[in-house]
Amino acid sequence: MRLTVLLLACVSTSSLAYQFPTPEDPRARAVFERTGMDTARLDALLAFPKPAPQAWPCEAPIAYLYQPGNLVDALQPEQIPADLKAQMEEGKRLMRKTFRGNGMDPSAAPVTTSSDIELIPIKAQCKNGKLDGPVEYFLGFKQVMESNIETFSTLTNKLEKTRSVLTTLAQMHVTQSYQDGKPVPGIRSVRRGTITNRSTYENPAIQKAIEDSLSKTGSLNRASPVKSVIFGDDAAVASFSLTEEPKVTGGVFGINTEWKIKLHSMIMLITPPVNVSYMYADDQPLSVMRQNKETGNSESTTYMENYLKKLGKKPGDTPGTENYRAMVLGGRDVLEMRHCVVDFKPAKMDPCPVE
Amino acid sequence: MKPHHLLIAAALAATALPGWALHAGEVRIYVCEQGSCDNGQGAARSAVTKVLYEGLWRNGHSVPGETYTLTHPVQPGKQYRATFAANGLQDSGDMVFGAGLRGRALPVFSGQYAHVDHPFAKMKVAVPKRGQLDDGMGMQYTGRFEYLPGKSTLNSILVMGTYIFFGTVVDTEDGTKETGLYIGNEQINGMAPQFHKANAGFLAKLQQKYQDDLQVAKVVFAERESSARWREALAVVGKITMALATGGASAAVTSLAGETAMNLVGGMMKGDDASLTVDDATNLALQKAAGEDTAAADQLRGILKR
Repeated sequence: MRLTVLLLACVSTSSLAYQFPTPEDPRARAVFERTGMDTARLDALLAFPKPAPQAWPCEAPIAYLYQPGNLVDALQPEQIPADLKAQMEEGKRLMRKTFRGNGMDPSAAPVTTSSDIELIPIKAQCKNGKLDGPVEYFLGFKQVMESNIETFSTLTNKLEKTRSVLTTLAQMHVTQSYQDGKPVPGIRSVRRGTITNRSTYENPAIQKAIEDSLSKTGSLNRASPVKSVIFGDDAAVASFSLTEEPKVTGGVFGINTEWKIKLHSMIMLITPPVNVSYMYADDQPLSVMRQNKETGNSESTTYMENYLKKLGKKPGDTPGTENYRAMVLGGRDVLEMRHCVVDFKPAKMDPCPVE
Repeated sequence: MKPHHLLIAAALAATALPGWALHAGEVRIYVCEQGSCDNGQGAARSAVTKVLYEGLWRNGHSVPGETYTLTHPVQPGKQYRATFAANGLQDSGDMVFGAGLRGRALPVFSGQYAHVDHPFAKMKVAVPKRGQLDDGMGMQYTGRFEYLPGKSTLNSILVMGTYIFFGTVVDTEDGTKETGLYIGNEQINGMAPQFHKANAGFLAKLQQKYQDDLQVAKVVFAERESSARWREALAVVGKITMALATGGASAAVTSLAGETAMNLVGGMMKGDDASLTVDDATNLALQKAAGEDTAAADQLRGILKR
């Protein structure tokens, strides 16, 4: 109940116009236009009501219905169909591989636990005792993502443990087509909720320093609102996410923190074997990624504000910037970074073997 | 352990040059933790990599041919061995990459080493040449290693470079084996290379960048040398001014001093004296200004020697 009030309060205060992108690629632009997305539509979609509990008209395929919320881990193994089980195992394997490929200890990979799940049908029909046709339902849940990291401290000469807990409270409104009890391509998923990050450091001095710093900016234990809408079918996926970002300024009376809403948009063109994704922060391009789903190879080009120019430096002047390229994009000074991934691991290849 | 050594090392851990030369008496880098690290048996820890080197020390230096035992706090039960050449650079055994660790994994190389010139740091460094690097997380790289000195060294007091590897990579967790070319990121020496699969196209770009960087370094070093020469020359001019200000010099010497100072500055401005040391350039400027007046010239030389 408390969550609902908080969420509705967040939604009702949102009145600014979001800055939607205008994709250069005509295919991506067409996908964007198909979603009909603008500020009013995004706000309206996010303001979905929580339905009153009711029964499903036939047996609910819970694992598939939980999938849009990544809640399958909450089920007993016997409740999970073989295809989803295989997907989950592959996901875990790739997570370990990605961690090791990036030089990180795979035991630090986060573990997610879901609880307090509410699954309520809004619209559903069955054929031969199985879900069939368009289905609408509500999902409410709590999700805790925990990671335990050990970092070697050169000051204490020992491994310092850090426990990071990311707690998500969310409500979702999902619209998806089903056939013979299984989902088929075509989904609209609307999500709203909050995320709270809490880190516990083994070293009390570090704990105090971090907490003091977060307190000053009002970030300590802050439940940040997160909202998103995803449209997907077998040709494209479009997502729009609203997050809050702090803008910290120093004033006569201390530090002021202003929380600004940022819109992140993504449009993915599903063009096998290579999918192309365009990402934007507000109306500015953020990155372009080409990914081969068959090989796991991908190449992404990311743009970020040219902070080196502000420091009077060029790419390569400071460690880690050797492969950056300074350029002007849409009138902005940006740094371009290319990142090649082969078999899910970072690679140094030119050209990057995506196709 | 001497507490002041620890303090100095802690303060300099982030700034000390992690040279590979094992000089336990160098308190900016090594902290003597046990025994004698000057003459005798002792254990010295690198403030940069945190590797503890235990063995025999002579005048604070490693002894060629002696075997040293290496340990690191993240894997306290494991011991490694290394020997060092007469120049203090590692020449055999294990190299423990203790800098920049992100967890319990401790990367270690075992095999042969090369002593390469680092043109950006203007020093020699010991780097893996042939052998096996175990990243501590199940990846083993066995083959030939090359080291490309990094230009970032110019803007840092840490020595940096990029490792290139060609050989066999075994993933002991996945049970896979691959042979090929791998390139790491440019990073500080003492930190293990994190290899990424690479191809000839990227290597060609890296080589081109290295050549370009060498040209940049030439300009930077020339600028630094020029700046250092100017500082030295202006110190000479300052010395003349101070000496004359205290009085006692004759009018002839005072005039000669002014003429000498301007000859020195003028010669440096035109680059005529670029091949000379500042001392020689000063002498030349003085000779030009003095002409036949050897008495005044001798007096001014006396002032400059003070």
